Amino acid sequence: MNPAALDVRNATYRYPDGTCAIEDVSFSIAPNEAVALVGPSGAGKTTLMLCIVGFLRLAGGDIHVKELQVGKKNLRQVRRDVGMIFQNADDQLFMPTLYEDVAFGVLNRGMEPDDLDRKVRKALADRGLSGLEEKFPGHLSGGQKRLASLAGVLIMEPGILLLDEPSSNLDPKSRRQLIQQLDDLENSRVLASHDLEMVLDLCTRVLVLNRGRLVAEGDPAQILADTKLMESCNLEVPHSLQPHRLDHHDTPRSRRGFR
Amino acid sequence: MHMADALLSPAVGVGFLAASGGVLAYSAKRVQDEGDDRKIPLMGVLGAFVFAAQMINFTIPGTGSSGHIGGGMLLAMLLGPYAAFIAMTSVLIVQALIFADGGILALGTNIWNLGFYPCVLGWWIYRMIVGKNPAYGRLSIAAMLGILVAVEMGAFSVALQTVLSGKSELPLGEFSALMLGIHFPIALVEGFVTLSVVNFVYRIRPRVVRDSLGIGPAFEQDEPSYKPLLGIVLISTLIIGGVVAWFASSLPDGLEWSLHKMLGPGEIAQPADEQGGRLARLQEKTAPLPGYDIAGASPEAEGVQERAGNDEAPAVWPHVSRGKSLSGIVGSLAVLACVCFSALLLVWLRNRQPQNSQREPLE
Amino acid sequence: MSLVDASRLDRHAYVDSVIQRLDPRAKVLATLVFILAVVSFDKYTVSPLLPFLAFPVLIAVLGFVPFGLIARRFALALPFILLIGVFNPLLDRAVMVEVGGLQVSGGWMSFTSIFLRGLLCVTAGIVLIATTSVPRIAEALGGLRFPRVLVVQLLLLYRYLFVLMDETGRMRRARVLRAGTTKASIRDATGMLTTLLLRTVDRSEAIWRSMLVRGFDGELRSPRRLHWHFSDTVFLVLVTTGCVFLRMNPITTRLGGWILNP
Repeated sequence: MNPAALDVRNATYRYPDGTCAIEDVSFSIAPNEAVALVGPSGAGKTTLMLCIVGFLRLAGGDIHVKELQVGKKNLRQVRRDVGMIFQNADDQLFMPTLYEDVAFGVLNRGMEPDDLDRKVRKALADRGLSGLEEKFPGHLSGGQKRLASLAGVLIMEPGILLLDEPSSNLDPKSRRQLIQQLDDLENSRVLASHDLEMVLDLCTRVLVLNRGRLVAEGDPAQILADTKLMESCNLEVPHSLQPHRLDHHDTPRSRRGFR
Repeated sequence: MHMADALLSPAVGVGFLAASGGVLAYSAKRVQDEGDDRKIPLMGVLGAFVFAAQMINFTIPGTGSSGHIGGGMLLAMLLGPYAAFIAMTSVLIVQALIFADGGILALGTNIWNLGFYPCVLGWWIYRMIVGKNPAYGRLSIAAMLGILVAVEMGAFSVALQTVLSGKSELPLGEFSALMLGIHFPIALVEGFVTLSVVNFVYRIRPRVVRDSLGIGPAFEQDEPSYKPLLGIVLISTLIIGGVVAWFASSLPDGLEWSLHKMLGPGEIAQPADEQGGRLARLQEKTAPLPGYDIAGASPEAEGVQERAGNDEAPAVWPHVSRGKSLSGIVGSLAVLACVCFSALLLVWLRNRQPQNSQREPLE
Repeated sequence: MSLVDASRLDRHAYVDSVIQRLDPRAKVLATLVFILAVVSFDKYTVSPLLPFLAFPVLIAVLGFVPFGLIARRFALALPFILLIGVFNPLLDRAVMVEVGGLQVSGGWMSFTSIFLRGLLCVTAGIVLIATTSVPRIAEALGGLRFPRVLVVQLLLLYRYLFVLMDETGRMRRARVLRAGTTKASIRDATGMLTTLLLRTVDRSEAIWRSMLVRGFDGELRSPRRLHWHFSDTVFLVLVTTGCVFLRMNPITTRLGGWILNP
């Protein structure tokens, strides 16, 4: 049997003041699998991801990345195999040029200069960012920034990719581009997102978190269509799963007119 | 206030570059030894914060004018003196370059006035008062005092550096009084704003403030000694004083002498007797504080006086002679014309070149 | 494109020209030599300073730096210089020069000298940054053996400078719309500063995390990009020789003399 790429068992994290951010969460992710973490704000999605990369220490349970337990002693190793894309792309592109930013991760691993150049250019080309090597990251568009941070992480060839709200603040075209690229990837992907349509497009499994607990797990089309479940989590059933009749459509107040 | 290159002499400029450079080297070493990786991004963004903070103008009560905080002291209270000094240095470098605020040679003086005084001197005072006990009252008094001293020292130093450089006629006494006076209410307000902000931050994120004071479990070990830094400061002061005195006394005369050599005795159209006398009286009138012995204040006068008494080497003051003045003016116009014409010609030639690479700035 | 960005001097640094391609170390050193030469003149010098104009003019032309930009920036730097300099004609009234019946006091000579110095030094700085971006200057400092901490600091500062200034601009505008006045009280300012500061501290945590996730170990590594070429040596030598020559020889006066009596 293939070893799981990610194995989370009874993970519990508590804030300094004692409140539980995530409680007794267990799940596994297989290699190449794309899984979504959905839930209302504050449900613990980001916290869970931060625990996986070792920024937060679990109060209970454990996390294994490819059989390596995430702990204080092996954070560097864990982070070699887990890549994370944070919500704010600006905070991840901290070097003066795109080239230097994408090169950052591999330089930290001590790569040869000629190989480095080839790898960096390829990483940028794969994301469709060729020609932007000397650009100042602050000058890029939102979509380009998101793809750039993806390039900087993918160049390190992580087994697992964690993405926190990857499609937020993207215009439709950039969003579509991102979804396409994420779909083509072979790394295991965990997406935390409010963008349920993207979840339907990309993921084969969805995990629903509510108030720190895992309340549902399964096929996205089924779970996200479950109205009762969605409502109890303060979520909405995605439009594409709602039964539609044109006259049933919610009319915005401004267009209702007065009779 | 930022010093400008236009008012500096090489001695003062280089002297303060050396002093600031010394403090920079020491600070870099201290930060590196500390090995706190977390500080690196924090220093970076806090430097950017200083720029942003200086955009936030408030009206100074009583004066009606608006001001903003300097930021050095605030940085020191969050990062510790050494990291803060490096951050302020970077701020001043970028200010000088991108915003043309202060000059490049003047960076030495500006880093000293706006970096060393708040981040190191002011912080020392703050630390002495607060010790290991950052209670809100103490924090406030310490911050206020630190800022007052730092700002006033900075203001006074601008006056001192200007007078030492000898390009301005302003007498030290009056100039310093003016600077100290103007900056006092500014310092008071900056002190008040800074202590309010630090108190807030201390309430919400006590760790940041405590870390900079070296309090907390990680710091129980040894107290770093400030003696090396004190040593650097003393040596820098001596260097500045020494270099300035040496330059002031020897270089102008040296320049005079070599100019004389270049021009040759035939070029001197007029002995400088009357002018020499006038200049000497001039020096007396504008001399700064009595007993202020730096010859650099009016080197020409001194040089001229010396020469006037010596018959074999006639006084050299090219600009003073009438014939020289006319040539100077005609020549100046000619040079300006040459420069303008060459520039236009070059631009015309340049624009005729085929343009295949990027010529427009980024949009 | 933010409002602040548009006024940045170093937008032009990304243009391609022979000046932009020079090693930044050469440009920094040349600028320093130039400024030292200019300020080493004594306080009454006026005409010998003029030929120095050739340097910033040449760099501006070859580096495609618009003169309007230089003029505007200089205009901003001018007030402070004039403020201090204006006392010279007031305090120093002894006549120094007489030309065709016109008497010029030493004070006016030194004032003009200050103005010219200001012009030369400020424009030298402007053309430097307009042809060399801050990250390249940071690299230059690193290459000139400045502490690595400072180089990294400059890079990060530059990266987040405009981000923070934009944020502050938005905050200020929001306050103006609510308060109805552009004048902020100390209390308002303190509030904005605190919010900004806390957000900045949080941001540094986020940046630190993204650094750690990509293997950050305390050292911000960049691929080596500084290559000193023969052209850089030529440039530096030319500038230094030119400055020394002009400093030691008052060619303006000679030229004038030659024009009057060929």
